[in-house]
Amino acid sequence: MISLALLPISIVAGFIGSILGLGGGVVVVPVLTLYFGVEIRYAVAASLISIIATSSGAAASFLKDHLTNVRLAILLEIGTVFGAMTGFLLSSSLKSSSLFIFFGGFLIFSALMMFRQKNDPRAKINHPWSEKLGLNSKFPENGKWIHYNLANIPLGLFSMYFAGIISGILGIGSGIFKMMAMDSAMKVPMKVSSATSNFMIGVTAAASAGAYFLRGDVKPEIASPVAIGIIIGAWLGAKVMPKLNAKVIRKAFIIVMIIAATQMIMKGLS
Amino acid sequence: MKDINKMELLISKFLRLGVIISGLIILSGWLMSFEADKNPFISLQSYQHFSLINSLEMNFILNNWGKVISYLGLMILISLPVLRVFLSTILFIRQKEKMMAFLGTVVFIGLILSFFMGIEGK
Repeated sequence: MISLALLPISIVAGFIGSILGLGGGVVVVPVLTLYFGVEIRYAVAASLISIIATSSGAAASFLKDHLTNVRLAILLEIGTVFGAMTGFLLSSSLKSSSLFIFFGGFLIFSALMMFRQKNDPRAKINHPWSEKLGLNSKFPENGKWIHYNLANIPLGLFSMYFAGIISGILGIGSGIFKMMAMDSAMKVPMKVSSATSNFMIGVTAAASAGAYFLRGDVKPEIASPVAIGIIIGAWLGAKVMPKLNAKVIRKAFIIVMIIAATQMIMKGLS
Repeated sequence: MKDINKMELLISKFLRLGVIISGLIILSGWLMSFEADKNPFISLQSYQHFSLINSLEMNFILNNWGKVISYLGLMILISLPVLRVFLSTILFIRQKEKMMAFLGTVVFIGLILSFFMGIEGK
């Protein structure tokens, strides 16, 4: 019966993740490890499965809104896929205690990033790679089409490799790093970077999830209720999001993240 | 360019359908094997290497079809992004966008290689 409890918890995780723009992994991995005592590698593998479900399910609605830059996504997926492969290899040589400390550090970083002042600067000159591949595009805002250029693509691609490593090790979507790389380095408009990041997350997660799956680390006992719960939770979150005050929920969740981070670091050190 | 966006939307709708189908398969498998798992977390508290092939063999021998169905659903779900990359690459090839088709192929090969890493990985 205890595995039944995972379903409502995963629904809540998917719901919170959807409202706050975080992947369910930020909730799922700490809950599975701290409260159910599951080995962190199994929790990471289950979390990656849920990321694929939410990203693949939501891609159509972002595309319909003309916010996703598909061409840019394909280029950047080279960085994230090879990063996720590196992350998978690194995680195999890391001890569970190190993974706990690493995850705790990531939670603190994510909590701090929620206070970040968000600028939305635009690139005046299109980077040569963007010119060659036709990556500059347009998106709708207030009833008008806004054209945008892309800057510093090599730095963006390198940052994506790093985001892929973190995703492969910790079982998270790394959306926060992907968006940072696109916003800060490449000057992608925030609406576009958010949609494009979500579009790419499924492919990034699949790179390491496939490896974890074939190695036998994806256990249906936990991956099944987590995947189903996250799909339902994310769908509910998207439905009620316009009616909720996300700012209040965000502040409350920062406290929860810091508590979970402290517990994970302490578990790693003990 | 407009055709590519239209086709990508079609691919994404197809993926959403894939998520629903795989979700239903995973749910059926989970419900079927639910009774068998009294407390599944006990055996998952420490890490033991037991490959997918070994797990499938064991579940076949024990006639634990719920688990086998769950694995099938999970496999379909994991394959969806790979299929998306494959279809996008085909789309670029058909549009004669050589550079984008090349980039899509690199991503696709990367994904296939990553799966092989799991077979080798211990």
